[in-house]
Amino acid sequence: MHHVSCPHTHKQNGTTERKHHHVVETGLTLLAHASVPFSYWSDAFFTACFLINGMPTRVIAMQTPLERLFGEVPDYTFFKVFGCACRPNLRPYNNHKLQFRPKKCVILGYSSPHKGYKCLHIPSNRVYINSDVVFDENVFPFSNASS
Amino acid sequence: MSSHDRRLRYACSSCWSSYSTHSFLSQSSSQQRSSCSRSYKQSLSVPRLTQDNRVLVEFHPCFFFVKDLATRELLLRGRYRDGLYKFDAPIIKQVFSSLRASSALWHTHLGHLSSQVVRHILCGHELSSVSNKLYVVCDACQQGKSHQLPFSLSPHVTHAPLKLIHSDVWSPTQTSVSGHNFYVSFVDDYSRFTWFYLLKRKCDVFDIFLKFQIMLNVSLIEKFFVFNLTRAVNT
Repeated sequence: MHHVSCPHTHKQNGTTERKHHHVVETGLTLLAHASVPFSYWSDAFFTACFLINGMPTRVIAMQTPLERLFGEVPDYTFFKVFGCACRPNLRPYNNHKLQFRPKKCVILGYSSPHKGYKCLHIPSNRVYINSDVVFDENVFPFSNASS
Repeated sequence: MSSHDRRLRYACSSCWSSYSTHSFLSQSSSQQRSSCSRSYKQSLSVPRLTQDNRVLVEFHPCFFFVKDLATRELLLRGRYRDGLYKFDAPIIKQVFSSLRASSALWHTHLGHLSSQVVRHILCGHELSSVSNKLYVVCDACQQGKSHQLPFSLSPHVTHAPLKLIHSDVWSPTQTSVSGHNFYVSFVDDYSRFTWFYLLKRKCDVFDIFLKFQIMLNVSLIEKFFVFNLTRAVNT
C-alpha cells in the first residue's frame, strides 16, 4: 500500500524528514572538518548515510540499523576520516613500470558494492576505487588548497 | 513602587471605604466632595474603582491622577488636602461608564493574544470580563497567524523488517561535482536502515524506486529468509 503525505505537511513523513536532518547535518560536518567544497555534497551525504547505518541508535535500543536488518556487525576499522589524504595503490593504472606509483588523493567516502574507498585525485579530477590505501588522517588536501 | 503601595494602603485604611463607584459619581457635586472627609458616602474604594473601570490611579505627594489603563489618557485629577485625596471637577463624565470588556475584546486589546494567555492575564490581574468563553475563532488571527496545528507522534509500531518503508526526495541548492541535484532516501521503519540514491533529475525517482524494489526482491528477501531462519533455529 502506498501512502502519500499532504503537500507541505512534512510532519506526516516525520521519520524520513528526521533522517534527512541527520544525513545533512552529518554530511555538512564532514565537509566542514576537511574543508571540502560544498559541491562534493553528494559524496559527503552518501558517506554520512553509510556511517549512520553502522551507528547504534536509541530508537532501536542501541542496535545499529545494519545489525537489526542484516544481522551484520559493522567493521569499524574500515571507517576513515572523510576528506583526509590517502595514497591508493595505483600500480595497475600505470602506463609503464618506471612510473611513480602512489598519487596523493583525497578520500571521498566508501564504495559499498566494492568494499573499497573512493579516492579523488584532485589535479586530474579522477576518482579511483581501491581497497589498498594508505591514509594520512591528519592532512586535508582541500584545506591546504584553499589556504 | 513600594512607596506607591504604601500610600495606596494608607489611603484605603484611613479614608476610602468600600462604597460603590456609581453612587459616588451620581452624588458627586462640589458640596458633597468638600464634605468628603466627614462622610463615608462620598468616599471611594480604590481597588473597586480601578477594577470596575479599567483605570489606574497615580498618587503623588500633592495631587493624584486617574488614567485609562490601556491608553494612559488622563481622565480625572485631584489634590491632596487635609489628609485626604480629593477630586477636582470630573473631566469626562462618561469615564466611569463601568462597561466590562468581553474576553474577545481583551483578546483584541492585548494584540490578539492566544486565548489561554488572555485567560491567564485576566485571572492573574483580577480583570473583569463579561464572558470567559474558552475559544472563539478570530477572523483576523486566522488571516494573520495561520500556522500548522500541533500533532502527536505516530503510535504505529512495526514488528518485522520492510513492512513499512518511508521515503522522501531532498534537494540542495547546488549541483554536485558529479552532476547530481537530488537524493532520494528509503528508510526501513523497523531497522531504520537507510538506502541512499543520488539523482540528476527529479523524474528519475520512479526508476530508482523500481531499482530499489528489484534489489529488495532479489537480494534481501533471500537474505531475510536465511537470517530469520537462522535466528529461529538458534532460539
